[in-house]
Amino acid sequence: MRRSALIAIVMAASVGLFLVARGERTQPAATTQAEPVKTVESQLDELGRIASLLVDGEIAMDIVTDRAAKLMFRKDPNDEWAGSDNYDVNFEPFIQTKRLLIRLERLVDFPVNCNLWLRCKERPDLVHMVIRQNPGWSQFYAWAMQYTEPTSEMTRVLEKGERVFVRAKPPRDEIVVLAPVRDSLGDVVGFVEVVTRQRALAAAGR
Amino acid sequence: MFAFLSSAKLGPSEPPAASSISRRPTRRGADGARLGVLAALHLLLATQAGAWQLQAVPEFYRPDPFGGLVAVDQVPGKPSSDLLAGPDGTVTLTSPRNAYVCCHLTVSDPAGGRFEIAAEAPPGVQVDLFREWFHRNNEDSKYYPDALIPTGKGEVLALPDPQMKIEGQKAAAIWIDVWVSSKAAPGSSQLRLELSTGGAPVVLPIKLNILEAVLPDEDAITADHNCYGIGWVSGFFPERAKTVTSAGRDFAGSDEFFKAIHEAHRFYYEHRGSLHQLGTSHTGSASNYFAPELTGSGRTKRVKSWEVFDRHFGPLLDGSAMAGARRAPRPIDSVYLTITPDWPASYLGWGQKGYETEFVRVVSQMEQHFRQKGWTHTDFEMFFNHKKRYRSFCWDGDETRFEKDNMFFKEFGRLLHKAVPSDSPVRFVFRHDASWLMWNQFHELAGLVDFWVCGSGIFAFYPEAPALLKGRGDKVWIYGGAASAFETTASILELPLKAWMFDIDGYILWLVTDPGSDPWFGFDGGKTCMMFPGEPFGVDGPIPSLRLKIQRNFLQDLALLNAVAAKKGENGEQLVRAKVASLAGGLKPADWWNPDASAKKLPPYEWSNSMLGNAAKKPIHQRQKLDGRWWLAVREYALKAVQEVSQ
Repeated sequence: MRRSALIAIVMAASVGLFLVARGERTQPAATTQAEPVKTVESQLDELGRIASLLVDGEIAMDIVTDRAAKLMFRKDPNDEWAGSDNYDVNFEPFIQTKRLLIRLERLVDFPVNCNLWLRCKERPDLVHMVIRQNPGWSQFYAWAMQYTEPTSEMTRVLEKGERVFVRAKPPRDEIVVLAPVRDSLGDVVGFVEVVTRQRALAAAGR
Repeated sequence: MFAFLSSAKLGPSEPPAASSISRRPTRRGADGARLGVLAALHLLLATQAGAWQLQAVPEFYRPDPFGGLVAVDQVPGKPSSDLLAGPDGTVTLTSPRNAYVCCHLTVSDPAGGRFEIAAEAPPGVQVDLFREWFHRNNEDSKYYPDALIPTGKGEVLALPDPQMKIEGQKAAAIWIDVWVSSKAAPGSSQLRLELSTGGAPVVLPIKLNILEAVLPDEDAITADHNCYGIGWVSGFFPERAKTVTSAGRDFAGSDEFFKAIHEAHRFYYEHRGSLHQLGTSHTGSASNYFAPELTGSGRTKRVKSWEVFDRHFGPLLDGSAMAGARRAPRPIDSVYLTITPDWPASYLGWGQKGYETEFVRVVSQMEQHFRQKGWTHTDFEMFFNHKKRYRSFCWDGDETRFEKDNMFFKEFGRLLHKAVPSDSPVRFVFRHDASWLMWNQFHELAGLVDFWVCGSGIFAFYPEAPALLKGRGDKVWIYGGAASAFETTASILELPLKAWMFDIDGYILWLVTDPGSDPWFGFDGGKTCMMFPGEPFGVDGPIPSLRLKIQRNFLQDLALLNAVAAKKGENGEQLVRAKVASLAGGLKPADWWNPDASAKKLPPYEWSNSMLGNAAKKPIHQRQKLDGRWWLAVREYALKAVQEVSQ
């Protein structure tokens, strides 16, 4: 318990120092209240930057089991669920990363999801969502999706390592920042989809 | 219960000869030669003056809109035409009291026109009439009746039906629900059904044979119906939703909204079933309309308000929502709680003392609240619906496939035990919907999971399971989908009969509130619905399917069979099951099991659906080439047996 508390303190201090060094704040400045959309965008961007720093791509790539990484592409004309029935994850990296993503979501004062997407181990040209947060907002995930080809925005993140801002076209209302996730070599192995929704912002008075 | 089927028309209250020429004799009304001559005459006259005809058809043989019967309801080589007449041309319905007895009426006339159906019943008996909607199956271009539209007294109908728009329609079909109350006098009485067309009425007398026996209120098995969330409510109660929103209020959460949900529960209860509504998502969220409002975190987490929860569930848990049903009101048997890995405890604290504190504090408050309210007749289910494939949690809460996931069930079982006092009168249960891994979990999770809802195909691999589970007091259901309206009516019996043959507690249809985007002209068969929106017919609420009625009648039969079994002594249940199995073409109850499935040689995580599909036995009606007639024989046995054991 003492160790976990220490880790939490160090993590919080790291985030704080990082933000101070950048001359930014996690809470919106009072002067920005007149432009709530801009404030939301900047906060999402800031959250994406922190996510890139704190989410460990090496741990993340351990989430999906090797067996599942292979079998998720299994095709069977008589079994449409052949791939998804075999999807499986390793508990420790999943839980560790999911809890970190929940903490990240609490850095802002409006509802947001931080979903983790990774390149597929067996098919690096494809991506899949690996951690989907509550209540399940995403601009790119569709129910039961196992993997997908990356969109142009995703490709930009994966290839250039840039954070990318995406605003959904109506009637969808997601506002998104895609933030790269790197392994220890500096390679981009995936990204965090930091997402909020217009209707949730309105309900939160933003 | 339909003793045998027959036709209509020339009855004891036969009108004067001058009027009768406007009617055509039934296919097999009375005796030969005289009717043969009359028939020729009537056919001739029919084209000029109309030849309205009223016939009765047993429930398992569905009419089509062209004067025939639905083909799939009949087994080739076993024509059902002999069932279209009783020996003396009389239609007889036999029923215990406190039960429904039913049949189809077909109304036909080559020329068509407007008509009315009226029913007269003896004291203690009520008749409900429903117009059967013929749904076109785009695959075979044939029509199948399923939605049942309530027909009010004096309501004028038309043939062809202007709403159904069926080219060449020659016949309309009416479902009759005859409710024989416990106050009805036993003995022989008569129902009088009258077809009015503007000319002389056509009368179909039905002999109603009311037995001394009273059908038990308790069911032999639970027939449960599942749905998800709240989206279906406004779909089935559109007028109510419009009224509320036009007044500037949100429908969801309004009194009208919860009243609609209560009515849906009553609707299924009236059909000897129950309704389950899941208020959680795969991502772990709990709907505000299902969960008590929470506040705080860690050691301060608690229920802030029960207001919405009590409005939603109070009338269901005290039984008052069932008032007005023909069955005695009672609380619902079971209900999902909104526990998920992320509610009431935040997943942020998973594995830490904060998680346990939040979980135990809130669930303890739930126990206290339910106890104070006296809600002690319902099973409150801790149930997990998420799967790792939906990416929100790292274990399968539903249909677990990997053994390692059992550790999470063990932890939640521990937390539930800690939150709920062992002597609590409130019935908290840990429900798990099991498939691949069920046999492992029956052992690994013994004493923790005590309500098993099992995939019926895999459950059939394990004939030892009912004794194992029920021997330690667990509750056991199987799950499956609703039968399609485009399949034989015999398929409606498949899942409930399996549950009864397995000697378990019930079954659940996984989704019953999705009739598709156009159930009237683009119907998919209804595997995800057992009711329809009533809006197109001016009904503010759901209307039943024919499949729901047949299922209800079947459940009545099972209750009757169980009553018979109880009177037969210690081995009564086995004897009655053996008798029913023998009537299915000489089967034994063991034939419902599948213990030698080759898939069992592999670990469950290696199974595939195609492998399981190959391993599964065909449905009984397909294996034995049975149509609904075989169940009529069972019903006849039950009706005779209940009279014998009652004497």
